[in-house]
Amino acid sequence: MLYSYSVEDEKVQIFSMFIENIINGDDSYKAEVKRVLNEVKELSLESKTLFSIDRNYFTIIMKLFESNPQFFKEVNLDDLKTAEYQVIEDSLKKNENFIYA
Amino acid sequence: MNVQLLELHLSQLISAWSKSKLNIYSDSNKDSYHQQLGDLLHYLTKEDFSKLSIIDLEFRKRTIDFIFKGLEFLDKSTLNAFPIEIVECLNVALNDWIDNNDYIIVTSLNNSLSSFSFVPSLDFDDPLLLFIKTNYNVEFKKRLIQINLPKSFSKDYFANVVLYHELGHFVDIKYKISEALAKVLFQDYKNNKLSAQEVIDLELFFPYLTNPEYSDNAKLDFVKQHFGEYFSDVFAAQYIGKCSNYYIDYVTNSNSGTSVTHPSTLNRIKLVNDFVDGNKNSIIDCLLDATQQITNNRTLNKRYNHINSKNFLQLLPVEVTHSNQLSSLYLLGWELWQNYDLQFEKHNSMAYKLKASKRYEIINNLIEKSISNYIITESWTKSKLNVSN
Repeated sequence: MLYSYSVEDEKVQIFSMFIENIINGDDSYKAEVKRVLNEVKELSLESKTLFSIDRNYFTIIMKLFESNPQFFKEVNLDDLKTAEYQVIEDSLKKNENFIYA
Repeated sequence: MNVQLLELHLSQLISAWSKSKLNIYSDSNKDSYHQQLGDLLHYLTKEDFSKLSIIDLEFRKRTIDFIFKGLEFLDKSTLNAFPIEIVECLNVALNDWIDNNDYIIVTSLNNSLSSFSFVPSLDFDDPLLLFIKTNYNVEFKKRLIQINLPKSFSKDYFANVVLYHELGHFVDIKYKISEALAKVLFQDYKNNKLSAQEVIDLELFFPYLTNPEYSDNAKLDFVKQHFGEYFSDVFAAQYIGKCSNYYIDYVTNSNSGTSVTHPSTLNRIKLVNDFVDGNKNSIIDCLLDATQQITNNRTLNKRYNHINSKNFLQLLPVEVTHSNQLSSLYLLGWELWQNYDLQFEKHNSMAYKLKASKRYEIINNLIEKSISNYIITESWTKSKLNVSN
């Protein structure tokens, strides 16, 4: 009966704000962001599956993975540049377009 | 972000807070949570919003919403309006699925007869909780989950079997079981990786898969929604067997149609029957397998026991000796109702036939009293243990 997507949308938006903070030079959330991005990378490299990735950040991980799997396969998470954070933030802002034909 | 509107938002919160200050709750966890919300509000009122960046203002807006939502949940769960017996049963079930169950279940009684639901919005927002901890050093170790149920049914142990289905939604959303499973199965279906039987079952339980009028995205979206319902039905059946079938079949008029949000009632009933009766069904196999993998080896299985006591027939509560028998009381009530053959009259030498409404009242009271006795006994046992230690 209840199945709200809005909580998940909120999480995506707040995660986006974490990334924006990093871009603006505030590293308060950098460790958490890196942990989540690492999940995306592991999913891209198939060392993790949809059943084993972090459940709390599932929607964010899937959104990033589906938007740009190749980017996450190749990116070096230990040395992320501002431009790469920007790519990640843009990926989160992409909307899915469901077509109910 | 408009600073004036944010200040209006905060003013509205302060007003709501002042009305909640005298709330009396049924347990100390809710008191502590209320206090933490107060601490957070205190920090917010000390800030000068005009000096914050746009992004920091966005964080504050969400923090104010978080406190508002917490208050809204707690306000409806004060001592006089809390169905403690029903919540105890759900909490016992939740313990099966969550390590170190840190949840505080609160309730909201609504005026709509169909308004059964769980509101998980204060549990799942981990990024916001991280922001709050980082900025204000306020850590919410307990999480609130709200159960909505109709006011008319707040003491009804027949209709409330569906709350086990709603608890299933909570567990499903927490672990993202149906979402992950839907994606995997849909891909395998598209790529012809499923067995012939799996395809037959999938097309039976998700009939729109063969409809060329729907796009793949739309189909996947439906499959996700419907897997969520199927998971929650099977989850509930672990605790209350086929009881929710009786109720859902009646309230939906045995609906054979599929909607965007729900599978057909006929399919839902078939799936539950297959699960309870142990019939081969590849959809159930997929649900079991995914659940086990995702939830660290927790299994969907029948957790209820048939209670053999004749106490109800003698108008006495049943003595519940273990928490895992609590949900079985609902079954006992439903079985008695469904197979009623003047048992109350016969066992108590009544010279007249009880009206159905009286039977309803008796069974409800007996279930509630049985749960209540269990809660009191448990509480005494724990107190005695604490004293002796």
